[in-house]
Amino acid sequence: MFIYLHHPNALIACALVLAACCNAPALAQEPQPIQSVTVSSTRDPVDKSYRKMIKGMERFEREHALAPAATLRFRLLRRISTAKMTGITLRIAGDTVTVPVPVADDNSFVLPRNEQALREDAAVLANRKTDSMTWRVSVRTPGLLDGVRRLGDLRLECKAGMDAGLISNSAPVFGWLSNLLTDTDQVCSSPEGNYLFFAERPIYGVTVRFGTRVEALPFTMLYAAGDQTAETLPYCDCQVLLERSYYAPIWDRSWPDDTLVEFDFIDDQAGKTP
Amino acid sequence: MKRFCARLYVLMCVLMYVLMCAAILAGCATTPAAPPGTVVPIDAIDQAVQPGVTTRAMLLARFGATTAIRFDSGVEVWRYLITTPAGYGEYVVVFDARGVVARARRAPTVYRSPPQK
Repeated sequence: MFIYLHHPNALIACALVLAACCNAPALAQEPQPIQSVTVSSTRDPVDKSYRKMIKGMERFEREHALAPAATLRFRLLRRISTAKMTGITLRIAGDTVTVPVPVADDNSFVLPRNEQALREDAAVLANRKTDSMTWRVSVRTPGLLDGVRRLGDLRLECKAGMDAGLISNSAPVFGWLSNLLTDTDQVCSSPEGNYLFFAERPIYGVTVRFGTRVEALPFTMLYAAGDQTAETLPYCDCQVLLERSYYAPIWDRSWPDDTLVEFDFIDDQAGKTP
Repeated sequence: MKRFCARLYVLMCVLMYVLMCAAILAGCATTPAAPPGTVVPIDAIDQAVQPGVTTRAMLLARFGATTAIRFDSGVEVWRYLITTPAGYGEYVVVFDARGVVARARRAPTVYRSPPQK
């Protein structure tokens, strides 16, 4: 445990606080002219980083072999029940640059590349409170039936999504800490990675199929593991998406990328399934 | 001043340590292992569960509580365990917002994560 205290970032944080505190009396002894600073805008702590989202797009390009025919879009999903999901506008906002980002009717969008916004470490801002929505990467191979996903697409969604910094599962005070302790390859290659995916509708069952091998995902891989409580749910970016959430066996290489993930939805034909 | 800074440094380290522990405990609290479901005889539960007829109260009275999750919509999903030659399978029941069985399925074999290499 003590080793974490020697993490470079932790030491830097300590040193900065320490330096600020230690310099405070000296500043008090030597009055300085008051300087004014104009703040043109403030960022929501969970605004999405343009640089990170571009990194997600670069990961998609590097590992396109996982889903050779797929395209990448970003997608906004309702996180809280009161979020209005129509008429959303997006923009990339840096210190001096603003770039509007068109949002499609399904609330998906493509992020344009802008070198100045990259240099200015811009944020991607919506005309909604950022934490009222869940942000995800969407990697889709064309031609699949409704209710069917391809495992290679999901693998790439995880990698691009993690690099893009879209997941906001932690309480804000611990957000920086979770960034220290999470890693894209760790999350996407481990059964404990817990990268949550969302189906289009409430899930009844999920089947994984490749050739003659067919297995059902257990209850513990649906509904964010089925153990969320009223206390923990606000810290999961699944919130109102809980009944649509699932884990896919993206870490299990015994399932090839062409494996199909098939959904049976709660509102499909009612009755008993053998 | 040096002594003050040294003390402050120690204090900051202790504070960091406490925050780290709290964060790790919070992480543990959000991802506990799912409680084991109640094991039931497959034939008995299959007979008892009739979509559109069987209620939550009826299943609770007959088979007891088991792993369950409730959504904002009022829909609930219960998971019972069934024994199979390969170990355990699961019997999943979906209740509509009125508390009546809407759908039910059994999975004699479910995906199990292979051991990590």
